[in-house]
Amino acid sequence: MSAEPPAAEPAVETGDVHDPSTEPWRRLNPLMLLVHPLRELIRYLPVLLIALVAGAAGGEPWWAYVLSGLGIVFGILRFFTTTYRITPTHVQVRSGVLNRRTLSAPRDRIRSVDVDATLLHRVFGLAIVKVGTGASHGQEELALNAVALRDLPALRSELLRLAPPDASAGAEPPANLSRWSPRWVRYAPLTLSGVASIVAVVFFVVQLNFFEGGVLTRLAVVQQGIGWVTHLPLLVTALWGSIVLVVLASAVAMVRYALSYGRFSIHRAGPHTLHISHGLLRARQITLDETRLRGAQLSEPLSLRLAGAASAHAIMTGLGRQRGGVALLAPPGPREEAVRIASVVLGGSEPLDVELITHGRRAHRRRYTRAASFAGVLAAAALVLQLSGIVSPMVWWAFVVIVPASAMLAADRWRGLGHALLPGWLIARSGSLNRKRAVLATEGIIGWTIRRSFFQRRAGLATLIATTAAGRHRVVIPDLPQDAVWPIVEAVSVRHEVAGDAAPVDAAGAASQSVRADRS
Amino acid sequence: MSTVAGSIAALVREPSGRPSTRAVRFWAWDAAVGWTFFAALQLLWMLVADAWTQPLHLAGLGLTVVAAVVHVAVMPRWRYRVHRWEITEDAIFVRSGWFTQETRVAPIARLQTVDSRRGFLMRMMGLTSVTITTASSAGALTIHALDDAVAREVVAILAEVAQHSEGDAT
Repeated sequence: MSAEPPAAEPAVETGDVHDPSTEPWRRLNPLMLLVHPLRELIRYLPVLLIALVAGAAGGEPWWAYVLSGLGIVFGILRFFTTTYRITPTHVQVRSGVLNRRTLSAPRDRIRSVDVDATLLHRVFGLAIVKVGTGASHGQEELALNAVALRDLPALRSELLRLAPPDASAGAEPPANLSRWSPRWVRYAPLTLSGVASIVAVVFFVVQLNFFEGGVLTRLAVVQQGIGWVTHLPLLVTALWGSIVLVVLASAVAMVRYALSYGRFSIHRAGPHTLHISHGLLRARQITLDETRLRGAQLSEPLSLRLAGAASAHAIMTGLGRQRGGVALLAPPGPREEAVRIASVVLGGSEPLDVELITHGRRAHRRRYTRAASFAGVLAAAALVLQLSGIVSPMVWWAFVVIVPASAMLAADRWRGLGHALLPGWLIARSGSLNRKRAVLATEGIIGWTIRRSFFQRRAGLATLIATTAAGRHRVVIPDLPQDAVWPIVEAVSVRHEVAGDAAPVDAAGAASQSVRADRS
Repeated sequence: MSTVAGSIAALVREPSGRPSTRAVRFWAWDAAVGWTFFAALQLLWMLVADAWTQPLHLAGLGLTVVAAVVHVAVMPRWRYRVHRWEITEDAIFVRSGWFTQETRVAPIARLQTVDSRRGFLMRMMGLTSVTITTASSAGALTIHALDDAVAREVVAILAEVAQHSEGDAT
């Protein structure tokens, strides 16, 4: 890995680091004295609302007030107990009211700086600064919550060790890669995020009702609503229900889309720095060190694909758990736009539009056997349920839909399945409902897993997984013909010696010889 | 150096190291303990529900016993046939599993930590498992059920190598 800058320290340290530095500990912005308690109050708002409803239905909800009061006190204490400092070598944050802890990150390990500002933070002109380090798993996030917006540029360049921002040199506008268009909102309903939100809300309401002993059903409005719906004929209810659901889900999805991706922009802030910002109410800014880029990923879920849309993410190291190691490059929008931005970031469009190698006849058949076994399992479940009298025989009509749908899904999964190996890039695509094309830099691959289930062995197939420290830590190529596996591993990981010293020598190889045999 | 010298293809298909011969016994006992615990839970449920004669409960218990016997009889030997490992100058190879089998390869230059682990049962049988982690959470390699002495040697060699490695691709 010659392109890799040498790692200066073996790992990010946590716990109490004995830094000899005498750098004084700094407090965060005092406006947090207002933000913390307000946040706690907002968090307890649902509880307080229930308390009011329950109070109206009888019973004094004193516990809700105690809880909110405690939250406010803790919010204030949080400000006084959190301090940070930036020493020449480390960034350290001390926090915790009861359990004190110190998070510490070596500064030469800082890979990204995120700025996250909720609506509340923005009202006060504040933002949370999150520091991403090389360690991307099992690591707590180092966050400064919060600093004033005007201190941000200086802090960011201090953390990333960039040249300090020069106000006079700001004449040249940064090279903008993409600008958000409000028309993209039309793709929002296809992301199914609205359906997910509605399911979450319904789940929450049902839970609430359960824990509060049927508070909601005691309300007159709800009772009237239920009474009204139960008097409608079944077909009308189903029809109207689905229309309302679709409209509602679409509306929710569009609002969510606009709120989180509104004003999306991505531009190059320096020779190796990408700057991404988005969000209408909650504003997020992400600064990425491009030397940490290990590839890109194009997501084309079935619903988006049918409308010619896609989204793109960058696969990076050191992004932390929260976003699964990927950074948004293009929100769900026109496919050409997503491909264009990803190509610019990757430095070429070839990995994204090269023709993929298909996996052969047996992988093709396996798509259908798997779809058939899925339908088979459903059929077995239906049979058991019907025989035990839980469902009526009408359930078999569902298979008029299930069987063709699984076959179509299998066909689409087959169309999506493929891989390619370009100089420097490994490309894998799979899936149908959630199709993804992952492009991974071969220099970022740090190991391989070849997995073969019993059925895959019988079919002569294997799943090849390239492991990496970036993104989701793995890129999976499913159902590769067995003979195609080792050539890929070799092409990526084997350095072919110049003829002459080609034979692997065991001179230093105590490793290979001495421990091989089992003594027992 | 991130890459592996020479041809790994020939080697990887059949790494030469095997687990300790006591591993078969260990896996059998390990599985037996697990199944016993599961059966005990089922019996406890029957006791609490006072359902000693209910056909559904009895069928469940019977199913557990059959599955346990088959698993304990088949799995350890199958596993022993599959498990292989080898450490060469520049890479580590581990094959494991039984019904689903996995081969893992990691260049030695990428190795980060080496842990050895011995559970209670393993200590009784003098066995140690060695886990080698890389910078990828998906890329840990475990050499299962090694003889204690062999495991110590493996750890010593890998610890030595780890010191000289550069760049973990983070």
